[in-house]
Amino acid sequence: MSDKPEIVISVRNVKVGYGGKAVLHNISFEVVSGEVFVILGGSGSGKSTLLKNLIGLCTPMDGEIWIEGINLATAEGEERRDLLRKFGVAYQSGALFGSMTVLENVRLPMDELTTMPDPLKEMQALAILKLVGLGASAQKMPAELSGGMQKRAAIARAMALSPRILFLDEPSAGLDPVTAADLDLLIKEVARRFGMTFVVVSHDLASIYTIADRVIMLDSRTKTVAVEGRPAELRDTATDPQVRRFFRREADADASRLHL
Amino acid sequence: MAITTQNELETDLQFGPPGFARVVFRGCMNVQSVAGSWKKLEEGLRPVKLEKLEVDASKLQLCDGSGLSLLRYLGMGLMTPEAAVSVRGMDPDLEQVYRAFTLEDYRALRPSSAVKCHSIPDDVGRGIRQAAGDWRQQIEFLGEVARNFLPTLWSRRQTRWPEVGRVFEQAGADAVPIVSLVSILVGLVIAFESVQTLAYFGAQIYVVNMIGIIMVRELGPLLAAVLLAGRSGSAFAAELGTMKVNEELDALETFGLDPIRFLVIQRIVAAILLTPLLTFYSTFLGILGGVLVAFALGFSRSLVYHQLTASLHLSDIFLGLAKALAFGAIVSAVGCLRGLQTQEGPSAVGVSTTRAVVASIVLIVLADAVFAVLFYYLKK
Repeated sequence: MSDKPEIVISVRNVKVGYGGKAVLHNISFEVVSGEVFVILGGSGSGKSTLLKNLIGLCTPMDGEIWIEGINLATAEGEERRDLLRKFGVAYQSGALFGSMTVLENVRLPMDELTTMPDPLKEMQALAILKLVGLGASAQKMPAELSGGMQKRAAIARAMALSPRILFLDEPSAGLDPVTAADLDLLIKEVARRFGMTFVVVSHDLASIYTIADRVIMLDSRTKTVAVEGRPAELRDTATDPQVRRFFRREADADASRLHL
Repeated sequence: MAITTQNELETDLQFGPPGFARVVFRGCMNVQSVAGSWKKLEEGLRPVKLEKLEVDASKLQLCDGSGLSLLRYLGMGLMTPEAAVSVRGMDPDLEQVYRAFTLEDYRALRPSSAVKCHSIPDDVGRGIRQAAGDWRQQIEFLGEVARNFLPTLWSRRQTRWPEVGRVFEQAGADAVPIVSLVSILVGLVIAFESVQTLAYFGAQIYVVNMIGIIMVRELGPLLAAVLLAGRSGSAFAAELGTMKVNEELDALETFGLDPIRFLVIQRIVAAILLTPLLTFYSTFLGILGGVLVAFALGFSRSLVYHQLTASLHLSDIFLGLAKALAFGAIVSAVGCLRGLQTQEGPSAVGVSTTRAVVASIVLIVLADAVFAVLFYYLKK
């Protein structure tokens, strides 16, 4: 292995949007192996749209996205399937299959996509569930779980095939601070122990300071990357007023401008 | 050193002195490669009786979650129940993860394989209870609707007429093409099939009388109602069901708004106003279908007209109208009720929709039978 960190995701001049209307343009960044990379931005800044393009649910209007040296847009057939298996996605709402137990949810990718023998699938699923702290809930249905548990179950399912990259959409949104902190710890631990790369979409400042190795912040006004760097540095050194406000959690308007 | 490709895993199984065996893994242990190794181990280790098994993981270049599962499975002695197993040579980080899941965890978390026994009396009791509960809910719902119906209509503020209009358009105007197609085809086919039988008696002209009576008294209302149930009863159930799942109904109640007044009454009003129109339309097109067959047989326009007017009475048309009103009320009420009854879960809305359509059609046919009996005695 060379000392130079391996680049797993490379986004080059990407323009994303819906129905011919660009939401973000001129987006470029690289994610290196084993880091926790956070895509940050206010509500409506296009974070989730960018994520949809990164995981191949949408195709960028312009530019290229390379994952593990393969162009996501042009990969087809077997190559694309292989590429898709290299990463796991945990959706914001969990997106667990409601008709299956938590254990079956985690087993599903293994059942459908691998030739693993049954006892190993079960072993693997149970070990992952214990890792995310859901061992005792393996037999429950998703509807019986709380919001935080559903998110953890979604992460467990995304980890089932031991992917190299995990995409998490707003993992701490809607969680209480303690549960959110637990989840942050889990992300940190998994990244460290398994050397997994995380791409996290978030607007939760507290969690960003804990988990992020690097962040990019999207600006909803200029519709592009406002700033890139380590979160603590950005907080202290950012010159752009919008970035500074975000990192210091200041209101956009002063009270006199609210029409109360 | 040999270059190992990504998915290659070598499983070296060595048997030493009797009762002793050693497994050496070389290469990459991942999702793709564990299956082959598992097969080899099963064939090699299961049949022999071992006292001691040593697993050497020191030559692994990569071991992902599934590889870890294989090491755990061996390490817990699940493949060799009588042997003492030692796993060694793991990378320290990997070993830490390995130790985090033990045999006790595995035993505690595994789903129990006990099969749930259903006792028949239990099931029967549950079924009856459920059916009785459902009847009760239906009666309660009927009472609620009846109690709120006139007061809601009286106060202009409470009946949201634009909403009634929207339902009217979706359930009525948008249904015109499908109702046209189905009615005209049904009329055509019935006329065409019966003409062949009527021909034995030389009574082909009576196909016009027949299609007139059938369409006005039976099939017109029935077709309109069945199509309404399929298109709109299901839509009502799905709309209200989705609202319930999204907690919109709870939001209404906390505002002090009654879902029955706010959502159900408008739909029932729209459906009751609508079905007579759809029924007349369906009847008209059904008769048109039959008449086309009569024309094709060469009967003149005036003869066909005479036969039709002679066979149909005003009472038949009123019967059709009465049925239409009742069917409209049934379809919309059942659709709304099933929507409101929606349970939690991803398939709940689908279940409600199905129940709405099935119950509507059953009730329509039942009501149709009741009408037939009633009309028979009224006529006497």
